[in-house]
Amino acid sequence: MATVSFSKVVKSYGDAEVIHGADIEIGDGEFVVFVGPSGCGKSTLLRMLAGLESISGGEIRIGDRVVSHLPPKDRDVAMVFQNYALYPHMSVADNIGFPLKMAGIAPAERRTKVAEVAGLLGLDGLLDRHPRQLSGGQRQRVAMGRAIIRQPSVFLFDEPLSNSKASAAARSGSATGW
Amino acid sequence: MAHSLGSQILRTAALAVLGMIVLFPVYWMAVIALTPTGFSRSLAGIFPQRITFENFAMLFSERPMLRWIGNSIFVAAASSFLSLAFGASCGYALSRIRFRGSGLVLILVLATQMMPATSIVVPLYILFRDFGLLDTMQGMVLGHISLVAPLAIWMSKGFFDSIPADLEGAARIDGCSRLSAYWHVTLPLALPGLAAIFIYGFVTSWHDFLFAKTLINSQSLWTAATGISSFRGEYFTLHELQMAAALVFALPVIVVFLIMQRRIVSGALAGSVR
Repeated sequence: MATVSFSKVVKSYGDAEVIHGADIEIGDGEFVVFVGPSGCGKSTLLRMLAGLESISGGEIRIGDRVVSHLPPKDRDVAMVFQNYALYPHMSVADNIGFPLKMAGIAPAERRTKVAEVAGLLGLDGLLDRHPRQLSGGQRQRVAMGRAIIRQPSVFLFDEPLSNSKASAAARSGSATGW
Repeated sequence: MAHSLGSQILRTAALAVLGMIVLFPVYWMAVIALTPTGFSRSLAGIFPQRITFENFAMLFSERPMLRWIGNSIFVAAASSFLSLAFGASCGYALSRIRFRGSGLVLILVLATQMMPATSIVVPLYILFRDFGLLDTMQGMVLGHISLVAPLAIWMSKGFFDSIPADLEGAARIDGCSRLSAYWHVTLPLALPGLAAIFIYGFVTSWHDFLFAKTLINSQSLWTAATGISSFRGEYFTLHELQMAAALVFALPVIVVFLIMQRRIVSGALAGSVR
């Protein structure tokens, strides 16, 4: 894990400024929740930290690195999207193992790690299925598995538990160290 | 029950009649193709009296049908493949990247489709003459790309629009660059749409007669469409040969369609996003 800091971060679309100079410090291992009405910029903050949205001003740091202009893959973050964003053409195992594949990790090691994560999230019997064959809660756990498998510096969860049953939520909570 | 049975019979009968109406020209083409050369005018009834394959044999022995078909396959495959590559890149950019004037680009691309091919063939002829592209395969392929590429851009933009941008976002966070996210995630999901574009391009190019007749002179470069028209003379027409050629002409399109249609499946995106 690592510290995260936003200093005077601004985001505007054309003339409309939507984030007006955000200053946020998050400590190493700290668990922070953004709460606010719909459309207030919670997701935009997360997407700027992940690198999916550019920032219009200010600076974002992860640890002691300034990441404001790095591409998402070089920021060492993982994200669970509000809509899960599972790869529909890949099996559950391939979805969870995709970050490792992109990191160039050998298939055998990938399989071991995927099995480990699937065990933690209660997805053992589902590894060969495709996202369309899963329930909403199962899809969400696959998205979480994809996020936790490579142990990044920062985890981002956009409305993470809106679809999980309480038991699965508790289990995934313990898996991510909440 | 009786009502549903009655309506079922009625529906089946209607479909059968419709099927016969649609398929009759194809059937008649086959009947004439199988009639001995010169005898199609003396056909009495809708069944062939004597079946022969001499027309098909003559097509390939006395006419360069194989060469014409080969030219057609080359032109159709090259122009549809290039249109697809060009259209998919443009469509992707127009779908994913916000830039000033993107709407105008789309309208301009659409505007090229608003003019009938007959109105652009003359300027195209003059342009090709100046560039030395007349009577060449490259020119022919280029001409067909101008027919297919605009629709390829619009169609592929539509397909890319239907793929959630978050999937690429997820891939980029998972370690992909923009290009590898396109390769690993977006492209496989767009395949059914791209297959449809390929079929459209292939069929459009395959059926084209106007450009083929205008831009190409040498008989060795004729496409099959020009070849088939050559059986029609000023004083007499070899109907049997022409129909045999038309049957042969229809086959490659059917083959391409059968190969590509397996790629056109719906529901490829199911389960990806909530």
